[in-house]
Amino acid sequence: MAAMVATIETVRELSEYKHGFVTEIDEERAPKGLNEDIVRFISAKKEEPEWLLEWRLKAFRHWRDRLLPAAEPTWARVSFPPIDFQDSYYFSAPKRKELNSLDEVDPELLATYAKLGIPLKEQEVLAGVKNIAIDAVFDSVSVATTFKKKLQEMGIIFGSFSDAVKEHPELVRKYLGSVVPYTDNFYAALNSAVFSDGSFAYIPPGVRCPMELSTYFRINASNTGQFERTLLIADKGAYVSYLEGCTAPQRDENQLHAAVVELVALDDAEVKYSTVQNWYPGDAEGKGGIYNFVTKRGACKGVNSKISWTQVETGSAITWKYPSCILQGDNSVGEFYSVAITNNHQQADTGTKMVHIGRNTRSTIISKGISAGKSQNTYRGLVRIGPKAEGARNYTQCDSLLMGDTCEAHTTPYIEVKNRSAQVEHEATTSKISEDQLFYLRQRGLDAEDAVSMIVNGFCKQVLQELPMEFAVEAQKLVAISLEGSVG
Amino acid sequence: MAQATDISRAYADQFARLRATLPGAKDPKLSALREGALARFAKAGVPTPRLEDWKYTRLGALLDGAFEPSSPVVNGIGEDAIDALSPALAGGPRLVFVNGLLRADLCCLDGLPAGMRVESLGAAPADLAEALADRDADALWSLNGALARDGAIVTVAKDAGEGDPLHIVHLARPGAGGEASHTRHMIRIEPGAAATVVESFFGPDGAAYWSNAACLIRVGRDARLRHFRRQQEGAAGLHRTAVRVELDAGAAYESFGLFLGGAIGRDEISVRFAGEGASCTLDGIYLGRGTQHLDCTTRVFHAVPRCTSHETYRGVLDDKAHGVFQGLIRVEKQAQKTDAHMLSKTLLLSDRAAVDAKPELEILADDVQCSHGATTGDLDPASLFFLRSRGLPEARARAMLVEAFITQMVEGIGPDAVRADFTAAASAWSAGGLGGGMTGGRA
Repeated sequence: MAAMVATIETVRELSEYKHGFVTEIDEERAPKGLNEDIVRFISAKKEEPEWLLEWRLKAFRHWRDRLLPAAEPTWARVSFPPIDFQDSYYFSAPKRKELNSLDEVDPELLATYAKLGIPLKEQEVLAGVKNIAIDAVFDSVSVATTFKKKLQEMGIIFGSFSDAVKEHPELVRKYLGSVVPYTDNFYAALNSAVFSDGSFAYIPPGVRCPMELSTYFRINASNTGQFERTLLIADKGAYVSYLEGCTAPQRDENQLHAAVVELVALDDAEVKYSTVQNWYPGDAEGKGGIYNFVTKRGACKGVNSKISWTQVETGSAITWKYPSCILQGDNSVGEFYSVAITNNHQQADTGTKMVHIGRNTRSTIISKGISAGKSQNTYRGLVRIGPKAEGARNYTQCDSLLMGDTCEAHTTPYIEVKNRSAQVEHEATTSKISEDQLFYLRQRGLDAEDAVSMIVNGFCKQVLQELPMEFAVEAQKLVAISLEGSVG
Repeated sequence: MAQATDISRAYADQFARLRATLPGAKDPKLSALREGALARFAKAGVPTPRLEDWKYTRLGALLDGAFEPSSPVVNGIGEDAIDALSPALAGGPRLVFVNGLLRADLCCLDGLPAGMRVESLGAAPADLAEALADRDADALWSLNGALARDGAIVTVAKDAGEGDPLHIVHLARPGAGGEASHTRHMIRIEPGAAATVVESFFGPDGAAYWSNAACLIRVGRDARLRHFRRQQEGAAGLHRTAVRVELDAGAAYESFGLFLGGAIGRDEISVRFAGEGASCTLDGIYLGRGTQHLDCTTRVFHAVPRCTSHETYRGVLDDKAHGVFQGLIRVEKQAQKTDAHMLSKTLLLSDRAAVDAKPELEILADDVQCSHGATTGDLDPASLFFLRSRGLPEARARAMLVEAFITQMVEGIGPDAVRADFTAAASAWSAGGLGGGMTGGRA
């Protein structure tokens, strides 16, 4: 038993949220609350064109008049006290922001990233070795963008959303809201009204983006809702792989995060979007933590296009997230690979939607849910085959692993088929780690902790192997840290 | 569409008119029970697709107005007519309900198995309160409780052996249309006993009517019930059966449903494990064509440890038919060592047929083995090619494969007479032709 106690101790240290620090930095804030003036304030601050302000206002009015009276959606299997949307700040930005090189970046900010393990400077130096461009989002405004020039040479546009609005308004105007309209859902409407910043990428026809595009999101200022807006467009025959990683400082108060991510893939294009989400999940008693209410959707608009979502979700007090694919183009492909881990009092309601519209569209869903502690983990997914989706194909597998008898695992798939030539297969299992497997590993000399870790890694392997190298390592660490505490 | 409140008011008027004639009317406790049920119905109203549970099924005409009570007087039905509906079961013990009322002249209780006691709802005042239970009920169950005029109370005495299947026939004989019957059955199998019950539902094509049946089942310790349902309502019929089963320790419950009639049909079964070591098997097959809408909804609640549940549902949908399978398995925290599995397979035979499936798992215990699977698609092209390469024309090859898909389910039925009856009904459906037939069942 002593060994077990020691293990638990180690794990406790490990599971302390290591990214829980707050950076002291001057910021500019909009007054608390939400009304048309705040929306105008945000738009003015960002020097946005009239059409974008109009779009924001339309979204805001829709949210205020149509959605707010009916309150937030309640169909997800999560519970939380009602959110007072007037008791939040909707805009905050670090003060200095006009930068020509990394040297001008607030040293404190750079130090923050260093703590998070993204050596920004180093990356520029090592550009030829490790080609990662980071559009680092600190709170709401992009403050540093690397490799922009290199990408520019290839015609790739990659930068902050605000810059894109100024420099490429025609692209933004064409695609903003084309995948997730502001009327889509409660949080998407809210985001459309008050989104602060995010990333924008456009890959021109036939270009294969030579490096993994990457963004690190952080929620910093206390009490600032974070409303990221990301828009990625892969033009005909283009390819891009995009990484998104999240960490946030430790806070007691719940923080709302309602991001919208829109992906567009035209003919023969491919977008690969990978996420490691490790926001503050609240403490062991369930106090604090991020509310992560995200709308992520990709449209395979062109023929032979492909959108692939890979996510490792370990953080946040509440996760409400369904990265989806609209398979419009004939022969288009959608993929969803997910590992969702919940521990302590975390609640996750996550899954995907695969909407097959075009002919011969294919989708694959691999979802691995792991629940421990007193957490709740729900897979909720939709596979819809439209009447014209001749020859469509879907394969879904969702497995849940339960660790301990105080957690819950739920599976709620919706399968709607309106075409006979479509082939849809769905499988789901729920179980705990088998005694036989544990025994086998232990009699080969592994301690309980390592044995469990090995089994869990095997359980997640199908998903983790989909991650780009840069993320796979972090993800494996996260899986280990998030879970080992719950063995015994 | 009528306002929900208008519909509720119409049913309340109906209740006021009928209440003096309903079984147990003189007992104030029972009256209160029925009033409570009516109030619960009024509060909830006829379910609409806005409710998660009814997401895929819209109850058509039931949302347009209240259905009147069906006529209690029906002439011109002979025993022969009933025999002809299920020849394989003719001659065995049977109860016949016409328009929701027991017809003693058509019943046959000679071959009733030893230990099985059968009474009508009106003749069993002591059991009425139990039979009309309205806990955790949905709106249609409550409405049934308020308006039920008749039903069967079947009790199988302790340790009684399994005899011939008891056949409960429900026959609709609508008048002008827009009429409903609400039957309420209760089946109790006492400890150690075994029994088989077959429920059949028939009605004529033509006028729209509603058959709203509710069945309460309790299977005692180490007892066993095999329960079969054949739903073959008329082409314009609306059908809703709700079966609620409670299983004691070591009990076994096997359900098999064949659903092929009605314009809209919904068979709902929920099983609650109340004692350890019990098991249930829920199987069903739905065969739809024309514009039929067939919904199979199952819920299995594992509330105690060491219980087993297995579900297999298959659907064949032709023309513009719409199939729905909703299955929920919930395993409570204390229900360790649960073994629960669910499988749904659907064949879509036409370009306009559609299916919606929602197989759900809610797991709160950790030491469990639970799974569900769902597949949808057309016939396997390789199998089709195999048959055609042997010289069979495509239509014939397709028909054979469909028949095989159905037979695999039906041939597993235990009691010979029931298997023969269900096989005949399924074959008759298949013989209706694929990709063109338009009618559901007939009576």
